[in-house]
Amino acid sequence: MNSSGQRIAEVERYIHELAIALSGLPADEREDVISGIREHIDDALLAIAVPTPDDVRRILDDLGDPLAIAADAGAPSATRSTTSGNSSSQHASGSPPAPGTAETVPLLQRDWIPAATVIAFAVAGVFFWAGGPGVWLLAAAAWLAGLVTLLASPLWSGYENLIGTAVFGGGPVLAAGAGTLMLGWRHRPSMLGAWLPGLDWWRFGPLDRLVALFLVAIPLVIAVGTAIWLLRRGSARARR
Amino acid sequence: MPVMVPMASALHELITLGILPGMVPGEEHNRPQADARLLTNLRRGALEYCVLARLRHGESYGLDIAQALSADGVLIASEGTLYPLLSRLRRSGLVASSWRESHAGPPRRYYRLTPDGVAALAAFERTWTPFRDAVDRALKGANA
Repeated sequence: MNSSGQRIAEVERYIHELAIALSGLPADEREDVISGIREHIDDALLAIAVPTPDDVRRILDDLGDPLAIAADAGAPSATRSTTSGNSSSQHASGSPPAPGTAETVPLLQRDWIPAATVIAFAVAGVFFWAGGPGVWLLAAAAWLAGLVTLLASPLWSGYENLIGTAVFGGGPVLAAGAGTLMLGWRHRPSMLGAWLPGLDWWRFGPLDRLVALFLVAIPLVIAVGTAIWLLRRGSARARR
Repeated sequence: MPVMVPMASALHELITLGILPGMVPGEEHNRPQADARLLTNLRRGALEYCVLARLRHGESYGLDIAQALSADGVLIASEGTLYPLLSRLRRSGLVASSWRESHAGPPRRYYRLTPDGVAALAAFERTWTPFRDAVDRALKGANA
């Protein structure tokens, strides 16, 4: 625990130095280099069963001085001049953004995918609470769309898929839904309570209120937290 | 006063790396650093094509490319310099990348050659081989 804490601190210090050294670059280029370096470090650490602080130091030493990396990133781009030289001699047209065609991002890796996925789950959640047979159908459609995107998009890792599916795939949401319906049933005289359980809690007794709070608030906090987490992870990868 | 020493050595390093212009004082007596600067200059035109060549037979990811190219210490001095290069290659359309799940751990970014990249690599090879041979001949002739 202590050593892994040190490890993370050392990596974060390195990344921080790199970010400062790269601060003269446009944000997207800076992010690009930093995410590459971060992935390199994660990959190198994963290859070692139990990384020691010495391993971490070696990995960072092999990467080199952040200032040297920054100098390389900021140096007048040899790549760009050679490519334009190549393309002017090989491809008659001098259209500079030729990469546009070569570099189409696969649908499931576009930058709006994380937001769309989270919105689908949010819509499903709201429609589910709002209730009513027709609305539930819409909720189910949105829920299914969110789940398929979450699982099919490579923007999330297996681990993130698992947590996302556990949270949005049913567990707490179903429990909360069933619970509120039961509360509604207990207070049947108000038919509104059966269909719009969420609106009717404050007419219940204190115990029911407590139960309702647990059934609704806790899954809601978990769901919102997970949504933000997935959004940030996915967006960080989709950012180019 | 003690501050001067690290400052001077940092300055020296920047000059050696070719970041700052200027002659390194006493360079003739300091062969390793002069060699390092030469190597840096030679790498400049060739390294990006070595990266492209690594992708010729299929896609690969950052750590894999970095380790392959830094194995002999000639092509890449510090692995980190690969990433600005990959970023430039991607922005100029010679490589494309996509995220792929890995067996353990977070998804990885895999790089592959675009048609433009294949063409650039072929153009470099056409130029490089005669160039390398001519330099070799010239060096041999000078020695003989």
